[in-house]
Amino acid sequence: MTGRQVNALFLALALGLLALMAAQVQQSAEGTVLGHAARAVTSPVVTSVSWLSRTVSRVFHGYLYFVGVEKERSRLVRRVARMEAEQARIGEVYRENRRLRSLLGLRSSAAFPRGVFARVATYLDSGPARQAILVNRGRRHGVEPGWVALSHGAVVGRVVDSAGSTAEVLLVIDPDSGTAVRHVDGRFAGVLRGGNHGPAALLPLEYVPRDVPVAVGDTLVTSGLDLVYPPGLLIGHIRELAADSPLTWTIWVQVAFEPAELEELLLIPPFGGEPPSVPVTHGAPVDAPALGAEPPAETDEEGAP
Amino acid sequence: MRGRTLAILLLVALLLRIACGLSSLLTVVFDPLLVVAVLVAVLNKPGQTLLAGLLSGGLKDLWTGGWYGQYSFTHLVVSFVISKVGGLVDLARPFPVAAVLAVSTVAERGLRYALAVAFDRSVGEMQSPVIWILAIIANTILGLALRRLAQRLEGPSR
Repeated sequence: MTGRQVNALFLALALGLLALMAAQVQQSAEGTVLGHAARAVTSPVVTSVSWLSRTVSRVFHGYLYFVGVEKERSRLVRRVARMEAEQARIGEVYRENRRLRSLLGLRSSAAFPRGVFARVATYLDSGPARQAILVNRGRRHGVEPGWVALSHGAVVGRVVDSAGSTAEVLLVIDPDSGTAVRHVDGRFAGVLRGGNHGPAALLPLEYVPRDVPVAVGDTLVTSGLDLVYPPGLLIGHIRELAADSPLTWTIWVQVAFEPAELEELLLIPPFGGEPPSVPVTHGAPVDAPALGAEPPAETDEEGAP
Repeated sequence: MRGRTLAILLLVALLLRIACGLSSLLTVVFDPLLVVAVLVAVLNKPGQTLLAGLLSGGLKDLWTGGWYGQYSFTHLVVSFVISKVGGLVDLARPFPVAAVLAVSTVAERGLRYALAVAFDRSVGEMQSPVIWILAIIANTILGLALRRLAQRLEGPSR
């Protein structure tokens, strides 16, 4: 191949790629045909790698466990006996609670009865231009694009693509993300932009009127106005207030999860599914730890429905 | 470089990229597919360089998702420029290879920022200098290791 031919080929390829990128700019983040095809191709690889890493991890931890197992055995036997008694008592209380709720006509105490637990299989990209992860639950487990991902009761992001056994979750800190939020006491509402600004991963909430009483540490929850996230889910806490004009604040919000430490997520159906009602205080959602406390009858050991 | 060597290098890079996906930090720092594209550009003729750039970028696009074509474009441009410079200066020895890997790590990231700005896509805050420095060091070391692997695969005559 001569130098001119190489130059011409380079120009043609570069222009073709630019055209491909331009064609995608107008489309939403939620799935191009190309995206679905690519995810279908990579899904089996990710699932295999995730399974392999989990297996290695289990074997390693199993070995560590058995090193001290004799020492722990008698203590654990006593503890198990105590816990069985406790379990029986809790089971009785749970059944009584269900009966009473049924009598009162209330829904189940589980905030998200159709939720699916998923593990983070891989970080797809954690650069400044994109913040997305892949989880090990997909269409086969009922997870569809639009589902919402939670970690310890806090919103992490939403599913933008779902293959057979994996789903891609676009985090709320992704620059393309926008989340409708409101102050926990309902003092104002707005749209939290993604962007992962600075090492503390603060997200801006702009044009908040300065006559609104807000303070650092206040909690923000989803408002539901974007018709993406159900209302009342924890988003994060106010970390900084910046006066960007004589009339408005820009509020800097720290999300309530650590992006680099995500391991297990709860995926719930989008707005329009079972309407959740997670009571939120200024610290953390009251119901959050109870999400995994639903009796085992409704989920398998990995959390699939 | 033989086609078999290129295929093995790409496979190794892809496996490394998948392994890096298990950690957020490694994902940001290591870029094995770019390293392979740069190595091929340093050690080869421009025709094969374009193929390697396109393949490595395409694989990364496929893996990463989101905005298809951005990595193909940046890898293609970086490897083409390196092959052009390689036509003027001998870049195949260890020190020049290390320098090229360091520069190309920065250049590729810069290109991605430029693309995002040009297409009016939000890019967020610039990554911290520590991450950039870590990426330069990591990719340079990885590149030198893969260069040795490539030389072994090519046999003693090379």
